[in-house]
Amino acid sequence: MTVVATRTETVLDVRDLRIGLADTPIVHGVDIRVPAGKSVGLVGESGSGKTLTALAIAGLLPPAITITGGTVTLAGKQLSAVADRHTTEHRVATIGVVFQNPTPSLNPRMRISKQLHEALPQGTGRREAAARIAELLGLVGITDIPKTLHAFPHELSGGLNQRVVIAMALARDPKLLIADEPTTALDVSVQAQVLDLVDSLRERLGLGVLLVSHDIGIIADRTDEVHVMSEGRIVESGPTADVLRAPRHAYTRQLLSATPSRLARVAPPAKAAEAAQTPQLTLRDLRRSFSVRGREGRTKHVALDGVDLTLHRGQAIGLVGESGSGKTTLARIVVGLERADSGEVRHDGLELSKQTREQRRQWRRDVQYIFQDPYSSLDPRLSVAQTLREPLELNHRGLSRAEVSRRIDALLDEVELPRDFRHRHPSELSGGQRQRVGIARALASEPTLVIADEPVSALDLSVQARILRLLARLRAERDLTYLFISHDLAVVRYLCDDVVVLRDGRIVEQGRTDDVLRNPRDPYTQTLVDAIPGGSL
Amino acid sequence: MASVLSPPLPRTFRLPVSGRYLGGRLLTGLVAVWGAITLVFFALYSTGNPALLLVPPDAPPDEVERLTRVLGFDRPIPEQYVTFLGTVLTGRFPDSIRYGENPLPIALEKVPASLALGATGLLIGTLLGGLIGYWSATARSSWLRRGPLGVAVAFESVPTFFIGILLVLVFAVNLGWFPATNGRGLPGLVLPAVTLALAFIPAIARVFRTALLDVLQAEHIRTARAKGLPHHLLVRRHVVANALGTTLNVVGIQAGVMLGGAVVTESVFGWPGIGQLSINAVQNRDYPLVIVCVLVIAAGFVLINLLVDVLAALVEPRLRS
Repeated sequence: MTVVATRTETVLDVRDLRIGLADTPIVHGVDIRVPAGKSVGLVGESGSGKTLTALAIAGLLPPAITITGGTVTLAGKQLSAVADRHTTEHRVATIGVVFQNPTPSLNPRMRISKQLHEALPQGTGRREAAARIAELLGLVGITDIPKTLHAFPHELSGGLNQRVVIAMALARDPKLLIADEPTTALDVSVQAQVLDLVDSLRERLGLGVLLVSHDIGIIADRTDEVHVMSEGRIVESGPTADVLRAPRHAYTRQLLSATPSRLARVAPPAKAAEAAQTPQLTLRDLRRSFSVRGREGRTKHVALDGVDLTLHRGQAIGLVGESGSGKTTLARIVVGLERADSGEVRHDGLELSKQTREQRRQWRRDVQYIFQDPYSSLDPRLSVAQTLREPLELNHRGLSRAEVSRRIDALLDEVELPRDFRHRHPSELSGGQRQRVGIARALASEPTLVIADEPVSALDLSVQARILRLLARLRAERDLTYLFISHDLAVVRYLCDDVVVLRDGRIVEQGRTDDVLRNPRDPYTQTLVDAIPGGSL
Repeated sequence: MASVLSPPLPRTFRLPVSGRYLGGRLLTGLVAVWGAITLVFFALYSTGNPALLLVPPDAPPDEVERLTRVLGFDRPIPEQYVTFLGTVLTGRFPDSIRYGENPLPIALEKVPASLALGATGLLIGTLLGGLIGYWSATARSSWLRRGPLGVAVAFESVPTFFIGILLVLVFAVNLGWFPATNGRGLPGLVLPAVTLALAFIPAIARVFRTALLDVLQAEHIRTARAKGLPHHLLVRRHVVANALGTTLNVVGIQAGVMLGGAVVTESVFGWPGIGQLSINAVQNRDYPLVIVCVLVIAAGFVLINLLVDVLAALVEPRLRS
C-alpha cells in the first residue's frame, strides 16, 4: 500500500494557472501535474508562455508580471498567490531550478565554492557545508572537485557550469526540479550528457522533473508525459509516446512536422551534379592557431590543424563540429575575416593573397555570409530598405534610385517578406523575419558562394523549417554553393549533399551526408550521431 | 567561511593583475606625463621669449636680455628641450623664481594637503553618488528614484567656483559652522571637500545606476533568487558587487577631473595644496615652479588611474585572466 502511495505522490499540482502583465493576460489557465520520480515535458515555441509558467511555479517571475489566478500545490501544500515569507521558504526548500544559459546563470565574480555554499539551506555549518558541497559535485559527475570549487564561472566550460547549476538546484534536497531549456546553449554531445545526468538524478533521488523545451526531440526522449503549449494555453496533454505517435491537435502536428529530421528533403538541383566538376573553393593544408593567456601562462590553441577541402560549384557541404572544433575559424578565413597562418585558399582557382584589386572586389561580392544571430547581425538603426540598399549601391555603381527600389522589392519577394516591410526596423521584426532580411542582404551582392554559420540555431522549430526550405529553394533557383555550418546533424541532412566532420581543427570524416549519418566510420562522428535528440520519435 | 571552503589547492599569492599588465600601464602613464610637461614647455614658447613673461612689463631691454641669457632662452629650442628633459630626469630643476630654490620639494610639500582634500572629496562623492545611484535604480518610491539624481545633476551644471562661494556664504558666513577660508585641519576641510564632491556625484550616480540596472537584468540574479537568499545578501553579493567594476573606472576618470577642479577649489577656499601653489606660480610667473606643479599633478593622475586599474581587477575576476 505504502509503495503505491509513494509512487503516485504528486510533487506539483498546478490548476488553472493564469499569468498576466498588468491587465493583459499571457497564460490563460494551465493545468500540470508532476508525480515524484517522473519527468513531465512542457513543449512550445517562444512566446507560448512555457517559460513564464515555469518561472511562476518557481516564484521567479519578473516584477511586472504576476499570477492572476489558479492554484499551485507544491508537495501537498498550496501556495498563496502573493509571495509571503512562508511561501518563499517552502518554494526554496522544494524546488530546484536549472536555467538555459549556464555561464550567465552564475555570478561572474564569485568562486563556485561560495555560490554553492549560498545554495545550501540557511545556517549550514562550515564543516557540514564543505562535506555537502563535495557530495553534490560528486553527484553531478564533476571529477576535479578542488579545481572546480576554486574556479570562477568564466574559467569553466558551459557543460561544467551547467553541472554546477544542477548541483546548486539539488543543494536543498528539492522534490521538484524545473529545467528550463537546460541544454539549448550546449553542444549536442554535452547536451546528451546533461540530460542523462538529469535522468539518473530523477531515478536516484525520486525527483519530479518539469522539463521545459522547444525541442520536441528532447521531449520525446526524456519525458513520460507531455503538455504542448501554444499562445498561453495547453492544447494537448498525455503520455509522451501517445501524443507524439498520434497527435490530435493541429499545433502538435505542425510542431512535429517541423522537426528537422522529419523535413521532406528536396532533391538537389539537377544542374548541381553536372556543375560539380568545377571546383569553386579549394582549401589546402589550412593552419591557424591562437595564443591564449590562461592560468598556466600562454598556451597555444590550435584552431585549424591542416584542413584540405574542395567545394564544387553548386554543391552544399555541411560543416559539423562542436564548439572549439575550428568550424567558425574556417568560415572566417574563407570569407577573409581572418588569415590563415599557412596553407592556401583558392576561390575560382585564384589564391586569395594573389588577387588583383578588381579580382578582390569581385570575390567580395561572390562570397557572402549569413550570420547565426539575426538579432545582433542587423544594424538596429537601419530600416530593411536601407540595409538592402547598401550592398546594392556598393556593388552596382550607378544604379538609378528607381532601379535600386525595384531590386529591393524583388529581394523581399525572393525571401518571402511583404514589400511594405522595407520601412521596418529590426526591432519591429521577429527572429525569423530578421534572418530573412539577413539572407536578402547576402543575396543583394548576387553571390555564388554562401557561407551560413548556424543560421537557424537561434530560431524556433517551425521558423527553422521555413528558413531551411527557403535556403533550399534559393540554392536551386540561384545555383548557389553552400558552406553550411551547424551543430545539428538533422539540419545538415536536410540541406546538404555532403558533410564534413571537424574535430580539434582536423577533418575526421567526410562523405555523402546520408552515408556518413547511416554508417559513421569515425568514433567521434558516431557519438555525434548518437547524441541527436529525438531518437525515439 | 572562505577558509573552510577554500579547496586544498596550494594558495600561492598572486597579484590581481599581471606584472606585465602593470608595467604596460606604467609605461603609458610615463608617456602621458612626458606629454603633459612637453606641452607646457612648448606652450611657454608659443608666446615668444619666455623671459618676457618673467619680468615686469616695464623692465628695461638689457634686463630682459640678461635674464634670457641666464635662463638659457637664447639657445636653440631643441637644445633647450633636451636640457629641460635632463632637469626632469635628474630632479635638478632650475630654481624657483619666487622662492629661489629647487621647486620640487616646494611642490611635494603641498602634496599631502591636496591628497587629504582630494581623497575626502572622492570619498564623499563616491559614497553619496553611489547612494543616489542605488536609490535611482532600485527605490520603490518614484520620488526617491528621481529626486536626488535630479538635484545632483542640477548641481553639476553649476561651475565649481560658484558652488564653493555659495557654500562659503551659507555655511561659513551666515551659519558660521565652518571657517570661510584659509581653514586648517578637519573643520577647514569640510567645505572644499563637499564642493569637490558635488562636481562628480552626478557622474558616479548615473554610471552606478546604469550598472545596477544591467546587473538586475542578469540571469545570475534569477539563480540567486532561486536560492532564497535574504534580500540584503542578494543585493550586496550579487547586485552591488557586480556593478562596482564599471563604476570604479569612472571614479578613476573623475579623479582626474577632480585634480583640475582642485586647482579652482583650493584657491577659492585658500587650501594650501598643490592647486593653490600652481595658481600662485602662474600669477607670479614662476616658470620653473609651474612646470614642476604640472609634473606632480600629471604623475598623481597616472598613479590614481593605476590604482583604479588594480582595484578594478580585484573586484572583476574576468579582468585577471
